[in-house]
Amino acid sequence: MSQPKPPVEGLTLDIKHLSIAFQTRHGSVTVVDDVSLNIGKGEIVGVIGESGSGKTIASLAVLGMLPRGARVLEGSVHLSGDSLLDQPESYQRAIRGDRVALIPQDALRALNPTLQVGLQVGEPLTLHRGISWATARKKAVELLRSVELRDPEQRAVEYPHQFSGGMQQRAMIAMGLSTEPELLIADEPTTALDVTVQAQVLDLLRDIRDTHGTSILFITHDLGVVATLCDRVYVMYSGAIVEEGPVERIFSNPSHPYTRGLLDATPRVHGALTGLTPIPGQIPLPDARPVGCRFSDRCAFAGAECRQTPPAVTIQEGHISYCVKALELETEA
Amino acid sequence: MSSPLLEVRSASKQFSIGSRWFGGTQFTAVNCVSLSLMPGETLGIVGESGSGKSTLLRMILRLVRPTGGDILFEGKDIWQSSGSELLAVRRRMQAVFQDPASSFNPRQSIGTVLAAPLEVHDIGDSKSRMIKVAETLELVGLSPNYMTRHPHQLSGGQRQRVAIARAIILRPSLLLADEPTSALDVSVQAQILALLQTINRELGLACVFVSHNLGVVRTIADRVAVMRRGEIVETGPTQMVFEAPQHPYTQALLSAVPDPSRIRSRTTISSPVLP
Repeated sequence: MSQPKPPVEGLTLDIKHLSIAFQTRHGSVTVVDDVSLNIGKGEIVGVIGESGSGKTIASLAVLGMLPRGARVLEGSVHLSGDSLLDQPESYQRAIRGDRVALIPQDALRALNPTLQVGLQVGEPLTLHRGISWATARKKAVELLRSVELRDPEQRAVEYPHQFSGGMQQRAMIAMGLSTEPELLIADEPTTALDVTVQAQVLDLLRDIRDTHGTSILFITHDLGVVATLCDRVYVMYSGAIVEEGPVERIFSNPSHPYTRGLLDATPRVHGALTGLTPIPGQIPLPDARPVGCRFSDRCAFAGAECRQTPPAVTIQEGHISYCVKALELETEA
Repeated sequence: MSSPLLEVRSASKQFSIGSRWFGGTQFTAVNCVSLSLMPGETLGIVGESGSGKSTLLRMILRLVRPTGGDILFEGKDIWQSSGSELLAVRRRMQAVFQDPASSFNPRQSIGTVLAAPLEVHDIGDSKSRMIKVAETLELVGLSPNYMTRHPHQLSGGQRQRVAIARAIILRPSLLLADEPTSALDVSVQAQILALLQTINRELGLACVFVSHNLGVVRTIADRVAVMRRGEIVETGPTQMVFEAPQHPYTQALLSAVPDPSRIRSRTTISSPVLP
């Protein structure tokens, strides 16, 4: 067990009331709806959600990398106090890869197949720090060493296809770390990896936070990974946050029916064998969400009061459930 | 004691890498694997990427020719069968794959997709086939209205239900599933696993279930085989393998799986067994 997170001074990332919509032929479709999320310095925050929950789109807004057709309707995004939205492209380019780095799911696709890994890992330094390629290449070897890649001098002159999946992901992490960013955004970085390799990468991310005080936004659909790594968790469903709180609370006292449903639907490897309880139905399309609570059409506890927009119910300091019945659920459990 | 439905006897598969004449090498994907499966039993095969689990499954499916050993289905060597005998084997042995999107012809309606196996095996006339298709759709939890839809109109979970319907429409005795839930969300995965359990029980189907996800295999399998580098390193009843793993690799694999009940725990993996 690692120590609980140190007290938060100042927020590395502060997202307030962010809404993002896609323009389609049939009008505007909201895919991120009034999302507020923050990360303290040195904190690892997990965003958990299934496909279509909006978790990736929200993180792309931080990077100023929203796909074509997506538009921020309202809200603000601040990185250590500096606003990131409504900034010229040149400003966002200066931030990206310098103060915020992305570790994507598919490292092989993110790496350039025609360039030596060492050059790619050192590239952010030449772009953001103005150092020479020769120095950057030397620095890259050190970075590859710091992510525990064996024989980094040799690895630096190899190409991505010569790396295993885990090594490619380590190279991406090394690249992300090169400029010592305030914030690392990791979007499903271990989903494509074998469990034993995943465990090593998670340990590495934890070490990075402990030594550099880097804040990490960790996006995943895997509850087990969140429990192992994160300090705090946001649970997203169909474009909105449905529950947020410290990881201990979310896993021991889940106070939103969706969070409970996810936990009950996750196959366990450890402990007693309990049958899985599937959540009936599927995530609604963004233009066909039920009125009021967007989980109500799949929820066993849904009633007439769920046709209203769900209130933010504080269960305990820092633990909020967006469910009108949250306190009822709490007493029941 | 009845005889095994499926028997794999010392099956091996070596792939040639590079030129046969200029320093080509052999890669052993599956090395002398033996296993057997009783009727109605579900065997889970777990392993990491490159462990040979999919190659083993493809040899049982007669998609990859073994370089050594025999594969017996209902007592007959499937690689010796041909013609009508092979057609009979195919009818009794069906498969479900990982990616439901790529396993259908996008231009065919679900009704056409599901009727195809009946046509191939010349079962019934077009009217009785449609009745059979509707029945099977209901069995997998879909309304018969889905017959007129096309694959792109379905969600991933619904497509996987159709894939299961296509596999069971001929009432096989063995279902071979290769990572059937890996592309699905957790909540939908639980639905598909529940469906597979019900169907296996109701139709008395035996099942070989290949997955990298240990939790999923634990949920569905009666027996487990753990594969590593082409070999089965441990096999036994699911409960025993998960509660008291004997092989160091199984132990390492289990301890590496992050678990929701372990908050902020560092995984300690005994490194010598890992690459």
